[in-house]
Amino acid sequence: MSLRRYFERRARSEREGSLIKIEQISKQFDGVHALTSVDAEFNVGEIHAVVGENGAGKSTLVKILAGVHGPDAGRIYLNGEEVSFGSPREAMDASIAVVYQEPSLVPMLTVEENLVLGRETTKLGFVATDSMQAVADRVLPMVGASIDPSTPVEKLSIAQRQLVEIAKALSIEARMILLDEPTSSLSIAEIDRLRAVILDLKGRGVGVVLITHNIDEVFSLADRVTVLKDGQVTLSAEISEVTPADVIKAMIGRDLAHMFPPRTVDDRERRTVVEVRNLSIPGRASNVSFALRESEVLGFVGLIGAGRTDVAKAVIGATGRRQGVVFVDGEESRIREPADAIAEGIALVPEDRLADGLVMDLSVRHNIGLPQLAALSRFGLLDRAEESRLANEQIDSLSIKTPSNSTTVSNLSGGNQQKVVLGRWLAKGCRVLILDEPTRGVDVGAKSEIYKTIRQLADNGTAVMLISSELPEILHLSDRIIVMSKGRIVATLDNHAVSESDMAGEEDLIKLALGLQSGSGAGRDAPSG
Amino acid sequence: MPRVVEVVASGQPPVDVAPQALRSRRPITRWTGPAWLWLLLLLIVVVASLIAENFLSSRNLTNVLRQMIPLGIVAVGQTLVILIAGVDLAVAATISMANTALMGIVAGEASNVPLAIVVVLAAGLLIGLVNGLIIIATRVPALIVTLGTASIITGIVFLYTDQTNFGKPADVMTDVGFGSVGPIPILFFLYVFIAAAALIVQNRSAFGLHLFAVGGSEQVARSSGVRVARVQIIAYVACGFLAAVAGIAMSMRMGAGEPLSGVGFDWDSIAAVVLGGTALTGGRGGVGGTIGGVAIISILNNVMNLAGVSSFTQIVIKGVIVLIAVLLAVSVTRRAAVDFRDLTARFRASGGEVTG
Repeated sequence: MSLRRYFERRARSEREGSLIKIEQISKQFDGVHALTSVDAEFNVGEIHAVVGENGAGKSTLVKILAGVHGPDAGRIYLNGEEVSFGSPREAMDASIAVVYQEPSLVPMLTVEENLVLGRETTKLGFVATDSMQAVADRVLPMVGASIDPSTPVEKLSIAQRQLVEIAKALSIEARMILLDEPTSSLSIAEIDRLRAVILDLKGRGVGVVLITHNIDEVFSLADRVTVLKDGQVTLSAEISEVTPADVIKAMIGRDLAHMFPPRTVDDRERRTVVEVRNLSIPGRASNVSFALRESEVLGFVGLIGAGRTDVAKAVIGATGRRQGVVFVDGEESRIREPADAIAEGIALVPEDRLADGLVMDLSVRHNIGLPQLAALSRFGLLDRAEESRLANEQIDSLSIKTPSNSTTVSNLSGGNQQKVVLGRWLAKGCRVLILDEPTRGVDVGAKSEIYKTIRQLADNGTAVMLISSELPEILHLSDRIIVMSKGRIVATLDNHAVSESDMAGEEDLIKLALGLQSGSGAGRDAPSG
Repeated sequence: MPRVVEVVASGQPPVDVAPQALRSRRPITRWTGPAWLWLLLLLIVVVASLIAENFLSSRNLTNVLRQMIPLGIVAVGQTLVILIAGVDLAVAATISMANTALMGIVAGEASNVPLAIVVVLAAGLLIGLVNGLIIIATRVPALIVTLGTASIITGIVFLYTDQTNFGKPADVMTDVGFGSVGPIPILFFLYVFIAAAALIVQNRSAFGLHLFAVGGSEQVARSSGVRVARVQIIAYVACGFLAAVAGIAMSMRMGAGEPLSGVGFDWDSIAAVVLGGTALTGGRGGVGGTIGGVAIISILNNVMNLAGVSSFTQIVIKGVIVLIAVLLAVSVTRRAAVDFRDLTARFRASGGEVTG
């Protein structure tokens, strides 16, 4: 920290005071150290990002500040005075509001009822409707939510609910608001809206603590960043003093450069496995043509709604009306539904893998064996030894971290769960894997393992179609990149024979995806289709 | 990681329309329960009048209303408990207790009636309090706890009565029990009063809001500052109290205390609540639907009697009809809930850490 910045900060904290200061906070759960001697300072009118991988202790920190848990050791100061919150109510009374990661609205109650829940103004035990409505009229505009306050929350979209949750936090005249992973289930447009709301809060002098594992959010919003790793602070700095690489290094304990496996740079001939010609899906995609070859990762970028997922679904026959032809191994495909695609060795791993892809309460072994139970059975009974062998093969080759193949999938980390899904389709003998946002919601450490797995699959001959909104992912993993915008392919970029330094940059991709530019650039083919 | 879209950071979030302009009336189903329930009731009335020609006679309708009273009162209490994702299996035993204790204390003397009623109501409150306290203190599922207390109460009733008919009502009780204002039985007004009061409390009071919150998610309610344990205790106490009231109302038409008089009220009340669209998982439904559910079950009982169906066959038929109706109710309710579960699924898909 430069001397000037130091004095600036000191002047500011003398003027406004640090709102909350924590010293040497420690917390254990069943002997596991969730937080160890954590110091931090949160100021008014400042966005303070707290980042870390899953399990780093972020949520525990939030819950201590919110009065849900009491710390085992350490002190909390509010406006310079030591406090201890015995319950969420006490924290609320101290003007600390929390937007939890878990949904915290009651579905059947209306928006305004949820806003006042727990702090209703009552007359003889009855809820005073006028004051309830006044709260809604005051806080909903603050978050830019155009919502009928008398709608039951269950009728709202996820983004609207998120706004209502923030509005609820604001309804207590919060001076400090804790947001625990507020963007984890929102689309890009919804996230933008939320960002505007957060910046607005800061402008109103509210202190914002932003818990996230999205580095981008940290650098586009925060004034300060504190990194937690294994319950300890590994970095705490003004945002202008650090780079994303510093933060990632503090989060995972190693450099960003090691996040991505080296790409095999060559220009050998690759056989086309799947070819899509002139695919059109009414309202979703028009005239899309591309070829997916063995041993390559074909990246698809574009805004949400650009048609990437629709094209993927069309390939496996999960889309109803479509025009155009899909060739598999040079022959016109007879894929009518996903089961046909699986029989052809083409599998789609959907974005919402935990809901659609895994049976959370079954073991790793059963989850891997699931699509081929018939093949694994003899006389109608499951051949457990064979199933076990199949699962162990995948556990070894994908290095899935699990105590045994009979461990329940819900006990694995997000990254390892994703590997189980991949392992399932590899065990089934899939030659073509379509991955839709494979690292969404996965923490940084697990991401790099998934990247390694994807690269390894491609190097071993699998054709991978990678749909992702994370640009570094697309840029560093893909051999070729297809950019889609409004249902059309606007550019195809070839990275096969291009070294890292010559690759297209993120800005190029953004411009293409937004339809701003269709010009020249390194390693770029003419737009096809 | 950088995403495709750049941030357009306007200082002021856009406000399209003020909330006042968007505010509409709160959904009427809060008061009435689901529309399909009332259509089903209408259908059953039509079928009943076709099967049994005297079903629509004013005498029989008065009878239906009379039969509805104890079930209705206890089902209102059961609704409160099911709304917080609990259940009370002790209501049947509580009704037997109320019935035998009332008859035992009254012993044919009108002057004993006020004392008897006070004692019985206090016992109902106590049973509810014990249920509630055990449930919140031990976190043992309400199903098991109330099954246990039900067994204890039943045993005490058997010890007290020696398993025989017991005690004697005072004439004033039977006068009230069989009396009516025009075609409406006197005690039906008690049921209407209780149901209306419960509806208002449910929809207008802070406690009502807290019932839905605790049933929807205990965690959410707690972190919102709701005193969860207090809400739970009040719900069980209200349920025990209303079961005692139901037992008293039922006794008004009986000639003696019967140790088994409450049998069946546990399942009938739960069936009425679930039929009325209240989810056993809590947080969804309400007293409005229960009123319809009670009417349906009472009419089924009545019409089978009219049609001369043997009482054993009645039990089978009622079981089948209630089961089908409940399955329908559950699938309709579940469809409404799917949307919200989707949120939870997306939350889990985001790899969020769930703590606490």
